[in-house]
Amino acid sequence: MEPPPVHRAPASWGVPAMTLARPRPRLKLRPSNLSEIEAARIGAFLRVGRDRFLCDWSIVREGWCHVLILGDPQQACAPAGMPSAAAILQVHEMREGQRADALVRPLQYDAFVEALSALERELMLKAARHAPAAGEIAHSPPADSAPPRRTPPIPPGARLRLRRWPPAAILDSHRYNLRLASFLSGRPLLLDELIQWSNVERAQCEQFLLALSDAGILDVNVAEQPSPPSLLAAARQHAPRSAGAERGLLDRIRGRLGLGRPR
Amino acid sequence: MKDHKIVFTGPPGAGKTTAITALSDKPPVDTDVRNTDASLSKRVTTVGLDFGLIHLGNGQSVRLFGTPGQPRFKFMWSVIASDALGLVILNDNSLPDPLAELATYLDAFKDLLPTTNCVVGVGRLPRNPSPSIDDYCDLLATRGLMVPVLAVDVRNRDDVLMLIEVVLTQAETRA
Repeated sequence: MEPPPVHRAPASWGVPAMTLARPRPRLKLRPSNLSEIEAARIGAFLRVGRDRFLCDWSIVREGWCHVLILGDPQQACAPAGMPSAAAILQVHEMREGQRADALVRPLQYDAFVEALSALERELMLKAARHAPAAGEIAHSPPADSAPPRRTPPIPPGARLRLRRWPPAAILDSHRYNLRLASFLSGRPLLLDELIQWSNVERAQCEQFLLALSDAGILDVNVAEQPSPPSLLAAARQHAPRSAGAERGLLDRIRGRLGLGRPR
Repeated sequence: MKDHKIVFTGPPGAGKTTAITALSDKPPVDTDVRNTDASLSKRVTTVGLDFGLIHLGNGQSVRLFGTPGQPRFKFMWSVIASDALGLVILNDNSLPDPLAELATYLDAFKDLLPTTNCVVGVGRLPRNPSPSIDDYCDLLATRGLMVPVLAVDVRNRDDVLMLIEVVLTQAETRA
């Protein structure tokens, strides 16, 4: 697909060049002449498609932005003087003779992500050309060193639950992610409960939670005081017998249907 | 002994009978009759309950119920699903307005959904990619519901098992 029309303005656009050691660049996107529903849809696209972008995108309502999503083609040209955006992405009504490389209404997820990704790559390339190369290299780790492993921002004792069902990109990235998501869809769980009940390695659980957190679909509730480990264990020992019986039933159903547990 | 049941619901043609057949130990009891509804492209349709059984041994079993899809049987949907171990909502993405179809079932089960283990299975997605799974998730999110949504082909037993695994996993956290 050809990249969408981009209207350039002469600047380095304030896009930080990306290096391994630094967090993802944060870029601004501003919807203009779009309905509230379309703006909300774009917000949802940005959240769901986060893993497909190189940068973290946030929506601003006014002021300068990296990408202006413009709903009225009549205003496609940047005004004279200070440009309001590094790039402009136009949205047109669907009609015959429409350019194939522009976004059309109603906005579709894949078309939007592809168009914004193309702009993103162009902006990053431009930023890299303008970046003070020596300074960036000085902050970069050696090429053969692994980037530090990230862990999810989960306070001790926090209960975790999905805010919405994860996109396929997250679920399909590991064979146990569907199982972990299912656990987090039932009720809020402690990280230790998730690890114990799912029987999935802590590292994989943390990696999954990190992806959910990055996508903005993980609820982390720290309202309740965490139970000390000893009390938690004691509470499990004295859990009602019906809970154990219920788990036994679930295991028998799994066994009967040939549904395996991890490992 | 507690009555364990898993309920399959959804519009006519979504695959409830097929899903129950994939799981049941015996050929399921069905109430299919010749279809006279011109809006449904199927030879027969279910006008009563589908019923299947999974024997667990020790005299225990899980009953599988399929609700009749026609809206005129709506009054019995939530009665059947009451106290179910799991509720599987199957939807057909080739219908004219699949999200409205799902909304019908979310409305019908709205009192049960907050406390019932539930999953949505979307069929015929490859040939009918819109609405997407994300669109379904958005609809559920607007109603404050966190219900898993999976693309399935109920003719594939593994896909049906995947739906069951999800509701069993939810049940595990609530046990």
